[in-house]
Parts: sequence; C-alpha cells; structure tokens
Amino acid sequence: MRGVRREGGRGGGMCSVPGLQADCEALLGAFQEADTVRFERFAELWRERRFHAIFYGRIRALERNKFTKKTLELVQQYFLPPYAFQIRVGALYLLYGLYSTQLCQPKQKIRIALKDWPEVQRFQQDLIESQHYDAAYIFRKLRVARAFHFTAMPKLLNYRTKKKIQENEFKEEFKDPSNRVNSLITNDVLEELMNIHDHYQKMKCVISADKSQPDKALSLIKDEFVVNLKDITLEHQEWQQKRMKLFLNAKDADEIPNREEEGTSLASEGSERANALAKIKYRSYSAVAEASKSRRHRQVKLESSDSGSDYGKSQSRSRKNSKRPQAARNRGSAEIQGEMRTMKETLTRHVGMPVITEEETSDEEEVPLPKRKKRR
Amino acid sequence: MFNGCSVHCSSVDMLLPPDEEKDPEVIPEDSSLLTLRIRKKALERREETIIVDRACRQETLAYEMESHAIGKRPDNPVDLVEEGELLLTLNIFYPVIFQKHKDHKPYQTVLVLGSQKLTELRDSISCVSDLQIGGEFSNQPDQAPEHISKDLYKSAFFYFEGIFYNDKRYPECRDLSRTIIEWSESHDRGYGNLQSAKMEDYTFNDLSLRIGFPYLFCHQGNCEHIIIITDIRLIHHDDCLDRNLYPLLIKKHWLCTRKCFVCKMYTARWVTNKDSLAPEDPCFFCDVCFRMLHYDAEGNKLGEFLAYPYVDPGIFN
Repeated sequence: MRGVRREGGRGGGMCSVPGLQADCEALLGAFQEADTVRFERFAELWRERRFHAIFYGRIRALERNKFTKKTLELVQQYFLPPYAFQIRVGALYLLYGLYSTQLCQPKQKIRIALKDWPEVQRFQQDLIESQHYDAAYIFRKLRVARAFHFTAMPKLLNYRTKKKIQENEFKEEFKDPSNRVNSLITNDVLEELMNIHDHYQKMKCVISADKSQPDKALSLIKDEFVVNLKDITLEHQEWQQKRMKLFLNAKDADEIPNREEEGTSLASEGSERANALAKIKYRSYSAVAEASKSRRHRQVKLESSDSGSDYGKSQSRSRKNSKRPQAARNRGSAEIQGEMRTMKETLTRHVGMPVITEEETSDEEEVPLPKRKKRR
Repeated sequence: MFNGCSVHCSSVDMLLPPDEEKDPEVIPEDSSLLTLRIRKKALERREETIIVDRACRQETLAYEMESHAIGKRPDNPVDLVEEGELLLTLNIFYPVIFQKHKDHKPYQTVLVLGSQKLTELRDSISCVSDLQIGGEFSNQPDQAPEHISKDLYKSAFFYFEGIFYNDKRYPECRDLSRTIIEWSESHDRGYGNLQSAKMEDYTFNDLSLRIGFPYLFCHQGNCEHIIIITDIRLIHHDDCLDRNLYPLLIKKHWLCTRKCFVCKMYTARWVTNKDSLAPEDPCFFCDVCFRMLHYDAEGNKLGEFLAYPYVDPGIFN
C-alpha cells in the first residue's frame, strides 16, 4: 500500500518535463542549420530522431494529459516572436507533429492567446505571400483539425508557492535579430527627425541676425544629433550581428572549421548591407520625403515576396528568409503607427515643412566612416 | 515552381512511426531523445521501489473529475452550447486557515459559460457552511435536518471590480454588502465608489473581469471564498456542449475526514460536549454509533450530554 500512495504523491513530478526543452531545441537547431523551411526536410529530421516516441513510456492518463499540455505549451512559444522566421516555421511543424502524434484522447489543444492571434495571422499571410505553401498547408491542417484553443491568456494560470517558479530561458540563436532598438529607431523615424532638425535649423536662421547662420545663443542642441543617433543605431546593429556570429561559431567551432570563414564573409555582407542602407537613407534624405514614404512600404512588401518566390538553396536566400519577419514586423508596426504617421504627415504639411537639401549631406557621409574604421 | 503536392498526400504519415515501433508503452531502446532517457530511468526506478503499480484513489478521482464531461452532447438540441460561447475557468478557494494549508489552499475548479447567470454559479458552489445545523439536539436528534443553514440564510454576494452582486431572488434575502459599503463610505476609506447590484440580473458576459485577480464570494454572513478566474477561452468542439452540465466541476479538493470515535470507519455526523458516555470532550460519532450509544430502543436519552450535528469539511470528497 505504501508504494501506491507514494506513487500518487509524485503525480505532479512530470510537470516540468525534464529534457524536453533540450530535445525540441536540438530539433529546431538542426532545422535552422538545414537552412530551409521545407516540411520535407523537417520530416526527415523528425524521423531521424524518432520524435513521435516523445510520448512513449508507461504514463497514466492524468499525467499524460499534463505532460502533453506542457509539451505543446513549450513548443508554442517558439511559434511566436521574437523567434526568427525559420524557427517559427520549424515550431509550426513541430506543433503539428506533436499534436498529431500525441496519445491523449481527446487530443490536448494548442493555446493561442488573443494578443498573439493577429501575429499568427500575419505569419500565415507571410507564408502564403512568400509561397511557402507547405507551411501554410500545415497551418491550415491544424486549423481544420481544431487544434487550437482560443484563449485570453497564453498560459493557464497556476498558483504555486514562489520557490517552484523558474523562468524558462530560450535559445538566443533562435531569436530574430530584430530588436527594440531597431523597431524604435526606424528609417522613418530617422528621416522625420532629420526633417524636423533641418526645419529647426532653418527657423533659427530666420530669426537670427545673420540669416545664413543661426545665432550662437540659439545653439541649444548638438548640430550632429541625428547623425550621431544613426551611428549609434548602426553600431548597435553591427555589435548584435557580431554577437550572433560568436554564438554560432562557438557552437560549431569544432565541427566545421571553415564555418569561420563563412562567418566573416557573412559579417562583411552584414556590414555591407548596413552601409548600403545608410547610403539609401541619405539619398532619400535629399529626395522629397512625402513621396517616398508610402512607396517604401510597398517596396518592402515586394522585396519579401520576391525573395520568397525564388527557391534557390543558396545561403543568401535563406538569409533573406530569416530576415523576412523583420520586414513583416516593420510592416506591422507601420500599420499600428499608421494613424499616428498620417497625422504627423498632415501636420508636417500644415506647417509646410520644407525638405532642404544642404551641404550637410556631403559631410555626413564622411562622419560615420572613420568611426567604423576605428572600431575594426 | 514548388511542388506542394508531396505534402498534401502524406503530411502525417511522414511523421508517424514505422509499424514495428507502435507500442506506446515501450520506450525504444536506442532513443537519442533526452526526454526519453530521463523518463526511462525514472520508470526503472519506479519499478524497483514500488510494490503495486497502479493509480491511487486521488489520481483516479482527479482524472475522472477532469474528463468525465468531455465531449458530452445534450439530449435536447436546445441545450447545445453554441459556437463562440465563452468558457471561464474559476478557482473557488475555501476559507480554511489550517497551518497545513499554509502553502496550498484547497480549492475547487469550475467551468462556467459566459452566458450563465451569476446565480447559477452561486447555486453550484458547495460549501460545508451551507450545511451547518445550528443548535443543540440531544433531546430530539431527528429534528436536526430541518435546520440546515442553506435554507435559513439565503443571502450571498459576489464581489467583482467594485460591485457587489447580491442574491435577491428570495424575499428573505438581505443585502449583505450594505454594511461593507456603508463602512467604506463613512470615513472615505479610499475604496472608491462601491456599488451593489442584483446577482440574478447579470451573466458573466456582462461583467468586465480580470484574469488572476482575487474576487470574493461571501455567503452565510461571513463565509468568504476567494474566487480567481484563471482562464477565459472560446468553447471548443471537444468540450462538454451540454449547457445543463455547467457550471461544471472539474477539480475538487480532497480533505481528511474526521471519523467516528466508536467505529473508526464512518465520517462523523455528531459532536458531543460534556458527554458522560464519551472518553473525550468533544467527541465525534457517526449517526449509527451516536444513536446506539446515547439512546435506548425507544429513543430515550441516556446519560448527560450536549449533542450538536457536525458537518465534516471532507463531506464533498
């Protein structure tokens, strides 16, 4: 009898599911390394590991329900931002695999919170637009199988004493390189700042004695404020890319020796991109801002669907791939901020803020370069 | 360009195990999965230490409670829960302050539909204080059941977001919240503008609620249950769709029961004080033993004692 009782007492022992996170991350990691979003490849990786067996072993119904719930809850998190596009697709496949191979009767459901649903829909739209039809199909299959619970909160609340709670830490490598800084200081914001700054300068000139130059008394902010801000953002972006590379290199340093080269080539590619971005930025500063604004979003969209439609297995393609959600997010935030921006734009027009092309542009382009050299 | 067809035919098959590996009880020998290696070790350890490997009563009960209504459909189509209905998960805590419940307060978990009235939840909450019987009954033990508190004191209220929802369905119901509101207003104690409403006029859909926030259910004057909404979601095809089964109890606390001092078998129904026949004061008895010991064949009281009906907290086990 004693044995039986103890058994019952340990009913909740499986709660945290030891080892599960490592297994899931290993699978997603392999999928990321495979540099693809094809379901075929995922299924291969799944079969290699015989992942269906994750639910095997003598587990009684109550515990099995609990364990399955935990499993779906864990994997579901990789399906949402901040994870990169590829990881999210991998998580979608993994959810599908786990959902369909689970042994619970009826099946345990995947919780999707109200706040995450728009994000999921946007993701689905992305899949379709970039013609990842296998992923879109898998998502649709889950919908049709009624695999989702539409909930108010991501997790079912559970009250326990403090000592048992521990924060889950997820893999840095899976995360989308985009971040708060990038989403806060977008090209638009920089441009807007630049315009305001120019306008400010000009106003100062107008009220100054010498019309070509503002009075010394009026110099209350640093002139190169916007440029500095842009430099800092770029610097941050580069630092982040480097850190990512360090992660990756540290991971498979002993596995593939020539990965290093690849890494550096990627690095230079990354900073090239940054440079190009900066150039585009400055060119657009000299152009008429209002006209470019609405069009640029469309360009982003176009670019994303373009990159999706050519299915080369090349490195560059997958890189583009993993960058897509960033574009998507920008687009998303653009939607959210849309109202504000239109307001701003109308405001801008009301003030009749001019876009001035001045000699500033020329020396701006030189300022960031020496700095970057210094850091190298 | 891309051949999506290969997926269409066999997306699940691509993930399913080969036939020889289809026994879910057996963990494959050479699995590379860490989870399975850990589980295997745990199971082996269990096999070594355990004598009887089966679910204990608590576990069976918990599973039974959790799953008994899943997928049920009503006989009458009128009672079918409609698509898009909200399903709330409520934890109703018990006002127990025993030391052993310091870390884990007993509660029951109830599923309620958004379109249900607050009174439907109120009627489904089972609490021992509703079953208390006041008074001393050593002279007429048969009359005790007529004095159950539930029938005598019908007032109750829920407190959600600054509003007291009072049960006013019966003429004898009192506004239990009045004293609280008056107390709050009398010295401007900073609880804002508390209001009261009729419980029977509101459904859960009418309320604006916060998940995880402790609310209150109060009945019998001062029996206070914390209520926490842990989840709100849309109803699912696999849920119980029989409206009549809601509020649906899916989890129950399990409390130790006090046993009869004589037979040591049945749950106590009586407690006596100053009992010349009992070794302890107070002393607990089940109904059969109590009558056998304290009354003769004609039902006459033997010896001196005071007898009170006793309702055990574990009565709902």
